Amino acid sequence: MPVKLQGAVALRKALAVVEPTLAKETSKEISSFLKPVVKQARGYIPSNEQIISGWLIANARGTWARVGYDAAVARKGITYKSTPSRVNRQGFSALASIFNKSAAGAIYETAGRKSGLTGNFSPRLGGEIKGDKQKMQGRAIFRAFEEDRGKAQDGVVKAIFKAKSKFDSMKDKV
Amino acid sequence: MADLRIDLAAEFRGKKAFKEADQAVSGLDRAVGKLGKQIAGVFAAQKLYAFGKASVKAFAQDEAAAARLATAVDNLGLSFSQTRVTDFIQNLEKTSGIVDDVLRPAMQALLTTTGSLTKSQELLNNAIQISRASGIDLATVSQDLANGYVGITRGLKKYNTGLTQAELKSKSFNEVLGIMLAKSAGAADAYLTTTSYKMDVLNVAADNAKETIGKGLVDAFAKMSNGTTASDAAKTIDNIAKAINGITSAVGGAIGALTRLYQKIDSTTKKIHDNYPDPFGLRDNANKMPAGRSSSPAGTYARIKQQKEAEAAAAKRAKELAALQAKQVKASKALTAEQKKQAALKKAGTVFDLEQIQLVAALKGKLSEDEKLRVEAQLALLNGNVELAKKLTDQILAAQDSSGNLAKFLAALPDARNPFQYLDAYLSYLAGKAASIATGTPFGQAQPNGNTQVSPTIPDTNVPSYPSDNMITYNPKTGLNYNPNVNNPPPAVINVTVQGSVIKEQELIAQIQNGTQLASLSGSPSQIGRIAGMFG
Repeated sequence: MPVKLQGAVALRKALAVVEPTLAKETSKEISSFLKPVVKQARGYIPSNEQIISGWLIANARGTWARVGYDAAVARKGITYKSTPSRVNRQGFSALASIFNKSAAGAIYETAGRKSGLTGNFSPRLGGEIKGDKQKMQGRAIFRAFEEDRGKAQDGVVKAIFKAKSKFDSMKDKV
Repeated sequence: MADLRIDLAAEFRGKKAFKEADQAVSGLDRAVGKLGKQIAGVFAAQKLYAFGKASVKAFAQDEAAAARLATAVDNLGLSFSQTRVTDFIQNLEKTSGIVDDVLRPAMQALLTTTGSLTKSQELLNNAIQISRASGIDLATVSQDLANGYVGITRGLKKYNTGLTQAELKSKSFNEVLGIMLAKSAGAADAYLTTTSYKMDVLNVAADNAKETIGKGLVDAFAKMSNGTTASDAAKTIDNIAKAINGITSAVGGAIGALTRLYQKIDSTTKKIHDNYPDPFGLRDNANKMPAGRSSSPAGTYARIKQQKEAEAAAAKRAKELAALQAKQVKASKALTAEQKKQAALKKAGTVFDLEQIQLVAALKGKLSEDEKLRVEAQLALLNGNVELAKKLTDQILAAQDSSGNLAKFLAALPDARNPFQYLDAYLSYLAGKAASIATGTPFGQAQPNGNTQVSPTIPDTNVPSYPSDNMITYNPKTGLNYNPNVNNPPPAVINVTVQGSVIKEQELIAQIQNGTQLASLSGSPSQIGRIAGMFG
């Protein structure tokens, strides 16, 4: 679950206007905590050789053609974002996020996490499903986040607080 | 497809639904604003109605209070002074900032008590001053002063005059009032500079305005109902209320309708006045207070005459009251003096009391402490000194406890004995017994050596009895009591039933004599051995 902070978005906006340098520094610092998780998650994406041949983009037909697997695309789809997102339906704006954007990557991430490893597909995907709750379980980004043990999350929060204290000290000087 | 993302930190920035709700509320606000403007007209009409009702009520109350005071003034025979009373109340209302609704009952209380207009006016002014100083409401102060005027001074205690209850009773009302006025001097003047006084003045003005408007409305409404009384006015007011309720449905035209309504009232009033002249002047005078002022120039004379008569009566009454009070004080003093005299006589009488003389003489002699206490207690009882008598009696009782029964009890206690005293005798007894066993000679027989052993009696080894708890009792009044016979009840009476007959001693002797004579005659004489002491 994300850490809830109030005023962080306003701070980031204020930093972008008043102290662009500090804003960039903050973004960089947040990114530095997200990058290792992304790198680790990308490492859990199997190569084309390791995946079921019928799912490969080159072999996939019919419905599967749209979501055919390509390891490069799947790896590229795992990204991070260190700027505030749009407000979602629940009214929250994410300050830092890690994504698994590609369709094939998402299938690899989540296949079998709800119904279990049954049938002909999910048991043959390999990897390991890890995570706290069902919605936070997966083979790539969720596994990497779980294995990170909250270091990235702490780092992001600390970076925001650090930016805030710096901004406050600058404000006092002015 | 599931949105696969991990949010590491987030901020709640409000839901879209909230924005929608905000927009809805602001829309509602606008709608309510419009609605408010629309119904403001209705509210204005209702406020007007409420104010009108309050005004009519205020006028009715004022009118009733004025009527009560007028009746009181009439009953005192001061009917021609009504105008003066009204003027006085009005002026006092303006200067003091106290509404006439409060002044009238206060004036009435004083007027009915004193019977004097000038005295009542003076006392009312005093009451205002005391009320300002003490913070107690004017109605209470004026009632207390009225009571004090007739000698009931109990209520004056709360004004912290510094006088005791006895002083309040013994001092005259004027003296007490003088003290109260001295302590509250300047309070009324000081109050005139306060904001509270200014507020009071505004309050008075508003109240009067309300009464005036109320009077006008009552007149107008009554005339609308083709009547002259307040009940007629009430009917019209009810109709207006119904009309206003009806107007609610037609919100926009409420104010206009009300304006037209009042215009109608005006025109109706004018029509009534124009079409129905009042030959006897009843209509205009219906709600007016009786002026009490004679239309003739002789009215002034009559008023002054009435006033003088009332003042004279009041002065007479005041004199009577003062005389009565003086008489009461005199009677009280006489009673106290008489009591003192009787006490002195009693004291002198004791000089010739023989019993007392004897007791005093006894006290001069040599007496023990106990006797002295008893004599002193007796003397105290004779003199009626209850406290001393009780104290001395208690001392005597205490002494009785310590030297009376307790002493008896102690005297009855046996000597403390040696508990091993019997052992010597007992050991001797045992030695004798052992010797007899050794020699084979029983006790009491001659031994071979010629000695005769005498068996000793077994010594008493019982510890003497001490008084048991039952023998000693304690009574708070008489102290300790000792009764050694409590455990030894009197011997029981035993009745012996003898079979046969019981004869007297003389008859028995006669019978024996007859028997011996018969025995002698039959050859068996009786023998008497005087030396041997035998008879046979």
